[in-house]
Amino acid sequence: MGKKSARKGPRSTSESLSLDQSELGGDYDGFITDIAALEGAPRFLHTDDVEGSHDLATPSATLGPSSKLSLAAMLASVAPEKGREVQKVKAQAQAKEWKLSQPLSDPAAKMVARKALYQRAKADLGQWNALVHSRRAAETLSFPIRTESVNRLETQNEAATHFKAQTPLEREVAALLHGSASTVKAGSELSQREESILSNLSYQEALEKRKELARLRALQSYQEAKMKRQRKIKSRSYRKVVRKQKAKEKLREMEELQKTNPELAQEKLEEMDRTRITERASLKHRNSSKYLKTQAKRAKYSKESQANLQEQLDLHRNLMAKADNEKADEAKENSSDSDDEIDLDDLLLAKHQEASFAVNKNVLKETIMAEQKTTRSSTKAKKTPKETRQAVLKKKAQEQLHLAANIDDLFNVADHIIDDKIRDRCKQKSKKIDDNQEEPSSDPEDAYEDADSRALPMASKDSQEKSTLNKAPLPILDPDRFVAPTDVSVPVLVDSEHEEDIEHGGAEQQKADIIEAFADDQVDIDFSAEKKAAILASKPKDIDLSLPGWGSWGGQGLSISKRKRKRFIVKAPPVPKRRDENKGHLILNDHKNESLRSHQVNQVPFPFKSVASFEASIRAPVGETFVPRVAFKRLIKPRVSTKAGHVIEPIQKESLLKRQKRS
Amino acid sequence: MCQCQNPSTSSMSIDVGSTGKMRYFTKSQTPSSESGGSKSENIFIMGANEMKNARNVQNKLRKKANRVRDVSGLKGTRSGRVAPREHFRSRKRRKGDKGPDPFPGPVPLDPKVLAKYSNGPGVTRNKVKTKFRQKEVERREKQIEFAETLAGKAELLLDEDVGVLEGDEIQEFTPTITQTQIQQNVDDISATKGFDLNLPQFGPYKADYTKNGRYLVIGGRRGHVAAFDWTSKNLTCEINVQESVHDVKWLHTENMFAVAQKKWTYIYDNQGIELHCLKRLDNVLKLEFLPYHFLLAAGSESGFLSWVDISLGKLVTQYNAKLGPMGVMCQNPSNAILCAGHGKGIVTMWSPNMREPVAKMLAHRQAVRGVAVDLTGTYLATAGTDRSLKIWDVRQFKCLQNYRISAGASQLEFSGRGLLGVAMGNTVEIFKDCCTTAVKYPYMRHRAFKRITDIHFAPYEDAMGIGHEAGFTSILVPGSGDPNFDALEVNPYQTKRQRREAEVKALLEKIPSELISLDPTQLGDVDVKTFEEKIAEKNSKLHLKPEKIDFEPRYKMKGKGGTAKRFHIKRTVRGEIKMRDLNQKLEEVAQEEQVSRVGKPKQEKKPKSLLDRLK
Repeated sequence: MGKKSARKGPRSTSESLSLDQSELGGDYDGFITDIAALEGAPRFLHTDDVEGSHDLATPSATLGPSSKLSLAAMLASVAPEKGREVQKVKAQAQAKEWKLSQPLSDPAAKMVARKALYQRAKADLGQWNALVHSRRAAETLSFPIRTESVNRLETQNEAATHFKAQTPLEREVAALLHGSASTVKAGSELSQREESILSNLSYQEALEKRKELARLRALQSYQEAKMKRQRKIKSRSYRKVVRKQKAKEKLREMEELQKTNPELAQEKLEEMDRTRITERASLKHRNSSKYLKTQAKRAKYSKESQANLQEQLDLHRNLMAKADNEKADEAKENSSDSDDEIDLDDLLLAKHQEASFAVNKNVLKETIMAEQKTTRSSTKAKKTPKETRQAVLKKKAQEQLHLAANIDDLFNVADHIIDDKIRDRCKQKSKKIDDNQEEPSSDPEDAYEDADSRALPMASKDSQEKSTLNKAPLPILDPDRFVAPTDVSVPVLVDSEHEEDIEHGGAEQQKADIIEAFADDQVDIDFSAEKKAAILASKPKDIDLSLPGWGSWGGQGLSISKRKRKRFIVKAPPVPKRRDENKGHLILNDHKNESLRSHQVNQVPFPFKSVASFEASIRAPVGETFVPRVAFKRLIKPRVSTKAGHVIEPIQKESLLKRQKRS
Repeated sequence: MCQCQNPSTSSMSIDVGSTGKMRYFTKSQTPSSESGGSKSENIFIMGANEMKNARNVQNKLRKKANRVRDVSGLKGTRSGRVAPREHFRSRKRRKGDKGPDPFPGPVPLDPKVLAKYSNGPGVTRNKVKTKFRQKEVERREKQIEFAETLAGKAELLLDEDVGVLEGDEIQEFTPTITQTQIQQNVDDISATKGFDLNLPQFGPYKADYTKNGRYLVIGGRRGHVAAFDWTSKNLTCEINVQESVHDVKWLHTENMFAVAQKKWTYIYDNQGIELHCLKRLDNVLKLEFLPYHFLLAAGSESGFLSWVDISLGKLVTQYNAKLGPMGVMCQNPSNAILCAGHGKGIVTMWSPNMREPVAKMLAHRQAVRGVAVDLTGTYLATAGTDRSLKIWDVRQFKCLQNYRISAGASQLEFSGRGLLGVAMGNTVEIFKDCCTTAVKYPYMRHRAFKRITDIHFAPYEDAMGIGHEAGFTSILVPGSGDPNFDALEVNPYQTKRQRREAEVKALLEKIPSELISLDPTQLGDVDVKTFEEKIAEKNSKLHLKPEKIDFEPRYKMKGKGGTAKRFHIKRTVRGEIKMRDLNQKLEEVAQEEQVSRVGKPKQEKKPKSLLDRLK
C-alpha cells in the first residue's frame, strides 16, 4: 500500500495527509505508526522528526500542508549505504526530471492539430491521385467503366433452373409438362416414352427410329422458323402473291367441291354471298382506310395514286353491285392489290360478277361523253378558248358532279375530267411550239434592235484585224516605264497557214477596234501615276499644329520660322512596307478587310502560349467532306460516352486497391 | 482488242478508257499495231465487252473513291513534311495463319502523296501550357497525321485515267486531228457528246453548264433560251423570252437559271417559268454564280458590279467600278473574287466587301478581252487585243508566260484539268500545260461555222461547248475533264433526292459574303493587331500580372546561320571558355599561396539572427 501511495505522486499524498490532519486530530500519530508497522519500519519516520515537523524550512520536513513533496527530496533521505536496488532507483529518479512540459498555447495547439489532420487527409486522398490523373488524361472514357462483376439480367435458362411453380395454373402446367412421359427433359435427348419404345426395339431398328425422330423434330423446327419468318414479312408485293395463291387454292377447292358435292358447294356459295351482303351493308372498302385517304390526297398530283384509287373504286363497285349475275363467265382475273382488307370470298364473287359490270361501266361512260359533248359545244362558241378554258372545265365538272347520282358515276366523271385536261394540255403545248417556230420570222425586230447596239465592250466587235494590225505602227513606249515580265519566253503561237482560216469582221469594224484599242496608248504612264496617287492616299499624313501669330509676330508676308514649324508638326507613324512595292504593274489594296476581321479570333485561348501554336492547332480540317470517314469518326469521338440503361456508380475504393495489386 | 477501218487517210490509235476518256498512242506504243490490216489504216479500240467489264469494276471502285476528299486545296502554302509515318498497325493476322507476315510493317506510301495531303507543321509540345493539355495536343496531332495518311492511301482508289491525244508518225501534229476523226474512233456513248445545234436565226449564243456538268443552258441573243440534259439531249425547257439575251447562268441546281435580258435579269425554273425579275440587276452583260456563297454576281453595261444573295433574295452590294462596261469578267473559283478585264489593258479584282478593287493590274498595253482563272486559283490567263495571251500566277501577280497568238482572243476558259481554251474569231484553240511550260503549238484546234461568242468546258466530261452565231457546238476534247469526281461535293449522276439533300447541305454550309477576300485562309489566322492592342492595354495596368505572348515566331533569317558565322561563333565561345578556365586556375593558385602564408582563413561566424529559431 505504501508503494502505491508513493507512486501516486506527491500531490495526492499531501492532499490525503492534509485532510487527515484536520479530521483525525490526535489519532494522527497512531496512524503513522500503524503505517510504519505495516511497511516494516521505515527509517525516516522517526518520532523525533515527526515531533519536530513544525520546522518547515528543513527539507526533511516534507509533510506539511503547504510544502511540496518532491521525489528527489524524499530520496535524499535514503541512506546511501542501503541496498543496491534502492540506489538504482535513486539514480534513475535523479537522472529523470519528473516534470510535465508546459501546455501549448491555444492557437498553437490548434495549428498542430490541423497540420496532423491535413497530413492524414493528404495521404488519404493521395491514394486517388494516379486514378484521377489517368482519367483526366484519358482520350475517351466509356461509362460505366468495366468492373469485375457485371450486373446483368438472367437468361431464360438460368431463370428456369430455380423456377418453382407457385400459382395453381403454374402448378397444373408443370404437372402437365413434367408429369407426361412424352416430354423431353432437360439434359436428355429423348423423352421417356420414346426411350421405352426404343428399348423394345432391336438395335438397328432403334437407331433408325431415333434418326427418324430426330429428323422429324428438325423439320418441325425448320417449319416453325419459316412460318415465323413469313409472318413478319411486310412486303406488299409478297402479301399480294400470298393472297392470290390462297384465292387460287380456294377456287380450286370450290371447283372440286362442285364436282364431288354440289350441294355443299352451293351452301358455301350462299354463305359467301351472305358475308358479302353484310360487307356491302357495312360499306367496307369505300374510302375509309388510311391508305386510301392518303391516296385520295395524292391523286391530284400523281398518276400512280390515281390508278390505285381507281382500282379501289372498281373493287368497291364490284362489291356494291347486286349479285344477280352469278352465272356470268369467269373470264379475266382482276388484280386488286390496293387494300389488305379484302377477303378471299369477295375476290371470288367479284370474279363472277366482273363481266356484267364492265358492260355497265361502258354504258355509263357513253352517256357522260354525250353530255360532255353538248356542254362543250355550247360553251365553246361563246368565249375565246384560252381564257375561258378553265372556267368551262370547272363548270362542266360541277354540272357533271351534280348529275352523278352515286359514287361510281362521280368517279367516272372525275376520270373524264382528268382525261379532258390532259388532252387539252397536249394541244396547248403543240400549239405553243408551233408559235415559237413561227415567231422569229414574223416578229418585227423591235425586241432585238437594242440588242446589237448594247453590246459587250469588245466581245461583240469580235472579229480580228490581222492585216491592219500588222500594218499599224505600234505606239512608241518607254520600255523602262512599262513593267514587262523579263524572264518570260514569248513563243509565237501563230500558225501562218491556219491564220488565214480565222474569219474576221468587216474593215470598218476593224478600224473602230483599232481606234478604241489605241485611244490611250500611254497606259503604263497612266498606271504608274495612278499607283503613285494610291500610295500617297494610303500614307498617313503629318499633322501641322503650328499657328501663325502664336508667340511671334503675325500678319501678311510673315512666315512661321522653320524651327517653330518643326516643333509643332506631329509626325505620322512610319508606313509598313507595301506588298506591291517592287511591282510596277500592280496596285494592291492594303486596306484591312474589316468585315473579315470581325470574324477572326483576336486572342490566344488558354493552353496555347503563342499565336503560331494556336493557328497550327486549327490548321487541319475536321469536316466529313474534307477528311476520310474513318479519320473523321476518330476526330469527333466524344471524350465521355455513356451506355443507355446502365447506372453509373461513383468510384469505389476497391478499384483503387485493384489497381495497386495489378501494378 | 478489235480493229476497224479508219475512213480518213491519216492513222492513229486510240485507247478508250472506261469512262469514255480517249487516249491516242503513237504507233510504237500500241501493242498489236503490226497485226492485221495495212499499217497506215489501223485503229485499235478496246472491245465493247472489255470496256463493260472495266466499267463495272471501276464503278465499284468509284463508290469507294467518292469517300475520298481532296484536301490539298487547304492551306496549300505551308510546307509539308515528307517522311512517311507509321499510323497503321501492321495488318491483322487471322488465327489460323502461320508463318511470318510476308509484308510486315505499315503499308508504304509515296512521300509525294503524303506531302500533298499534309496540313503543315503542327503544334509543338513546349508551346502548350499544362501537362494534360500537352498530352491532348499531342494526341490531336497524331489524329491529324492519321487523317493525312488515310487520305493519301485513299488516293489509290482514284484510278480513273485522264484522256489524252497523242499524234503518231503520220499525224504527229495533234491540232490537225479533226472532230470527225475523233468521233469515228471513240465509243458510241462518247461520240454522242460531240454534236451541233444549228440555230442560225437566234443569233450568237451564250451557254453554261451546271456545276456537275449534267445540264446545259443556252441563250441566243434573239431571245431563245433552252435548258437540257446535254448528254441524253432531254429537253427540260425551251422558251423565247421575246427580248435580247446577254448571258445565261445556272444557279446552284439544275432547277433554276438566271438570264440577263435586255433590261433586267430574270430567273427561270427548269420548266421555263419565270420565278423572279431582278430589277436591281439591270443592263447586265455578264453573270457569274458563286456557288459556295450563293451569290449571283453581275457586271453591267453602265459599269456597275452587283452581288445578289439568291438564298435570301437580297442585294449584298452594288457599286460603280468606274471602269466602263463590265463585259469581260470571270470568277476565281478558289476565293470567289471577281476578275474583270477593261480597256487600257487593266485587270481588276473585286470583292463585295471593298469599294475599290482588291487588286489592279496592268496586264496588257491594249484592251483586255478575255480573262480566266483556273480551278485551283493559281493561274490567271488574260488576252488582249494586242494578240497576246499571258499567264499569271494569281497569288504573286507575276507573269509566267507571254504568248503571241494568231488573233486577239475573245474568250478564255480553263478546263477541270487545266487545259486552256482560247476562242478567236471562228476558231477555238486548246492549249495543254501552257501555264507551266512555254508550249509551241496548241493541243487541239476546232473551227466553228461562225464567230464564237462563248466557250465552256463541260465539268467531269471530255467535252467543250461552243456558243457561236450559228448555234451551239459541243466538241470532244480528250483530257479536259477531271475523271474522278467527289460525289459528296458534286455528283454528275445524282438523283433527285440527292440533289435535294445536297441543296440543303450547301445552304447550311453557305459561306457569308463578308469572308470573301484575296487570301481565304486569313480566316484561320489570329487578328494579331487587335490582340496586340489588347495585351498592351492589359499590361499597362499595374496590379495585373503582365502577359507575355509570342506573337511572331522567330525565324532564322537567311545569312544568319552560315558556316563562316558558325565558325566565328564557335571560336569566340571556345576562347571564352578557355579564358574562364584560366582565370579559375589563377584564382585557385592565389588562394593556395595565401593559405600557405597565413594559414586557413577562419570561417566567419554568421551573426545570429532572429529567424534562426525558426530553423
